[in-house]
Amino acid sequence: MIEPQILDHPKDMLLRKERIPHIWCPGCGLGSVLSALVDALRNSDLDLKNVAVVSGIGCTGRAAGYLNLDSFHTTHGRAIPYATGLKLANPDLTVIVFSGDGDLAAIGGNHLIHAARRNVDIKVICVNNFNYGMTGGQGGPTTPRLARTTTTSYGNTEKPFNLVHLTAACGAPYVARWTSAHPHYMKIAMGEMLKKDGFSFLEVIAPCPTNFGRRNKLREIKLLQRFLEQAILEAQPDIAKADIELDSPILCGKFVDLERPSYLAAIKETVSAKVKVYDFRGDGRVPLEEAPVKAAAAKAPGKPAEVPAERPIIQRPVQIKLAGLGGQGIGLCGLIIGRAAAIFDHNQAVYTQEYSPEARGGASASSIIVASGQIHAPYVTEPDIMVIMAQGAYNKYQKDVRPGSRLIIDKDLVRPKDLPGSVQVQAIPATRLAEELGQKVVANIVTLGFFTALVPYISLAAMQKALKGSIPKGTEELNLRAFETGYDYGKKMQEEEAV
Amino acid sequence: MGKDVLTGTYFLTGNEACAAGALAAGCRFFAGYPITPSSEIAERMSIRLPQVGGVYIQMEDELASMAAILGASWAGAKSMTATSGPGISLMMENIGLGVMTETPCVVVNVMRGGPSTGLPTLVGQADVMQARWGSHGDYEIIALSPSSPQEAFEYTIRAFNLAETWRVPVILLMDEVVGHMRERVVIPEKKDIKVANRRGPSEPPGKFKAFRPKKDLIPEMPVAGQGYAIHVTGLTHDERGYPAIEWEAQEKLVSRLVKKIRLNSAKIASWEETGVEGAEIILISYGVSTRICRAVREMAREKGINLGLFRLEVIWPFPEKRVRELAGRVKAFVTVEINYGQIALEVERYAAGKCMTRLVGHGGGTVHDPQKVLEAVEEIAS
Repeated sequence: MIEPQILDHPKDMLLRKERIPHIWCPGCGLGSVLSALVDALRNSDLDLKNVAVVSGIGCTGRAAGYLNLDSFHTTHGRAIPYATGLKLANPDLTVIVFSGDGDLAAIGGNHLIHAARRNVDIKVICVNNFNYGMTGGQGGPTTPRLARTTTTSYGNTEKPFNLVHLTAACGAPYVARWTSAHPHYMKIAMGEMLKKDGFSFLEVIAPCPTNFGRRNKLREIKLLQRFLEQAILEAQPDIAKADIELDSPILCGKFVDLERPSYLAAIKETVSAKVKVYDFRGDGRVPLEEAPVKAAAAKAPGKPAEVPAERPIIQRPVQIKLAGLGGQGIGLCGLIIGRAAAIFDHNQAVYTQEYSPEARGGASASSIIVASGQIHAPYVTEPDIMVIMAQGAYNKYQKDVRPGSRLIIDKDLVRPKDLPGSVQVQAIPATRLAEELGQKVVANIVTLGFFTALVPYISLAAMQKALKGSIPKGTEELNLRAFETGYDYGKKMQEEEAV
Repeated sequence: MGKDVLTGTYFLTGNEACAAGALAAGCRFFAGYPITPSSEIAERMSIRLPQVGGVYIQMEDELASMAAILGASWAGAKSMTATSGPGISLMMENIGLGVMTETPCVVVNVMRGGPSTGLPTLVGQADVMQARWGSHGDYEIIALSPSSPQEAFEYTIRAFNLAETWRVPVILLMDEVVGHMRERVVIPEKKDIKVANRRGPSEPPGKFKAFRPKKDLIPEMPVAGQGYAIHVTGLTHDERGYPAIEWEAQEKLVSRLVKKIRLNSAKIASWEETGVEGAEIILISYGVSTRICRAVREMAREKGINLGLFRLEVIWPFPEKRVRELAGRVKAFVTVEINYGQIALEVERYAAGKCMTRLVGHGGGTVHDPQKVLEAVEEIAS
């Protein structure tokens, strides 16, 4: 007698046999869809090591766990963004999202439309069984009108999504729909998707006899039978007519198949043209070249180079507040002062800025604290020096001007009033001087030069270095002249005061 | 290929320094969604990542951002997202998935005032308990809190190293002040930056179980495309990674997720003590509030008060053993934080009645007035 020989089923290689039996009900369409995917993968020339499957939550969400591939069973609705991360971090992967209609179109609906718009190269198989099967058959975003579910006992009143129309409208370059009664066509569609570079979407209409069928007089095989009898198979179906009603025909076929650069292809094209990268893969897995060491930094790695001789020693923290109107470049002035003190004078500096919801316009201020020792509290609370470049800013920040402090203003633009006692006011027609230089926009740099001449806490050399590093290329000459103009004005004023 | 470490001395915001730290730590994937006051991190990453062969993607929301960095981590990239306020609330669901699936990644929360939309442009420190247990279920997590741009750079690297070592999402709890303020930041040479990487599988596919822990309770981590046919699920799972919906599996898995942080907390917890030995009163603080406390210490010294500072570098896991020890030696702990008592309650728990505990807190929008903190200290000292 010949011993019967038990051979592996050819599909077994792609299934986690130890996890079978699966959780799906008799008559459920999910097995057919999974089986079609296994066939499509076997027929493809993909290295299966590089195929990953991502699912969300629900009956369909369990599919990932039955496939003997790298598989990810994520949170409800988030399979698509998770898959996006997988694909972009390793473009060698073929990433398949296998999930249900509730998962992908309701809680994950936002991700679905954006992934289609971006054209991320992921293959989305959406099994639509018209309801939430796992949680007991509640209505969802694809439940046909008047259908009964556990949450639409009187008949569903909402219009369902036409998912193929939706994803096509969002720009998906591949969109198809079949039912689980069409394994052959499903396989063909899946095969095409696996080859496509871009977001591809396959909706598979599948029966849920236990929940949806039972409540809609479509028990067990009846639902599947309906799909077979009522499906309209067309070579070029009209997507606008693909709505599904409770007793309408189900339009099937391939709705969209076009070429559009995928997300990564578009990045590669654009970025490669602008960034010097070699063999850009977009996954950071290219070995990085050893970074050449800057000559200056090499002298004392991790520590600032030698302390300059002209470094001002600031015993106690000095608080400086600069204010102006949006566009006057007051923030840049603060930044240059901070850079000069912190980088070139080897002092400490803390720079903070007021943030308001207005993107432009209105009075704004930036603040710097400089000291030779540590600066703890970051905010300027009692300014020692205020620089104000516009009347609107003066009106807003006048409350901060303290007795005994120094106030630097634009002579023509600010009329100080109601000043507290013993404020030292120092004025420069910065805007006028800037206009004489040919560019009103450098009034801030004129003021900065003036500030440098008068205020002993930042060295001239440091300020000049910081200025050079902080202005756009091609504007150096103008800015340096502006700085000198303000500086000379300040020095001259000091000399006159001394006389 | 561009350089990932731009060695030099800079004047940077905490947010810019955080991005520089991420690149230095090896981050090559960033997914995010704009939100004040964290957006500068995303902006900087969008410029820098393509220069070093990485990917920046702006997602449709924070739910997607968090999901994407988990996916990227399982594809082998070090990944990060950055957000604030409402954004971090939206990320909580997938932070839980990251915890359950032991996915290394870094989540930056530049804290602003809340609840809800709160104070988008102003500081808060009220997401400390959310960082610990904001996602449902029981777990332990790691959170760090820098107090300056230099620390934002360094702690971001530490955050990646901790995430890779302990296989858990690590939360960098910055705050709006630290995120937006500028200070000198020194970026060292690449060779001087210590970078940790996850431990890969030591066995070939077949026998290997992706969630079988080693002695330190951490499993070896294969990634997609290596041929291990891994299964990663947010369901309670066994050592193969397969769903196991039963209490025994829950006990085995969740107790390990908790223990891997608790039992290793001596290696993870980190704090800084200033003048703590012999102090009458100890200030306890973190993030920007640490800076205020340093100012308060100087003011207290002038008044002859022996005030110590215990500053949390790593907030979670909390240095409970050390706080217990110190409680027996001092008159009081004064916790200084921008909320109405989150760490203060932890301090109270571990002080366990052995010393007085006080909170100096407020609802956010600004930092503490050092004078107010000093007054609280003086009241206890007198």
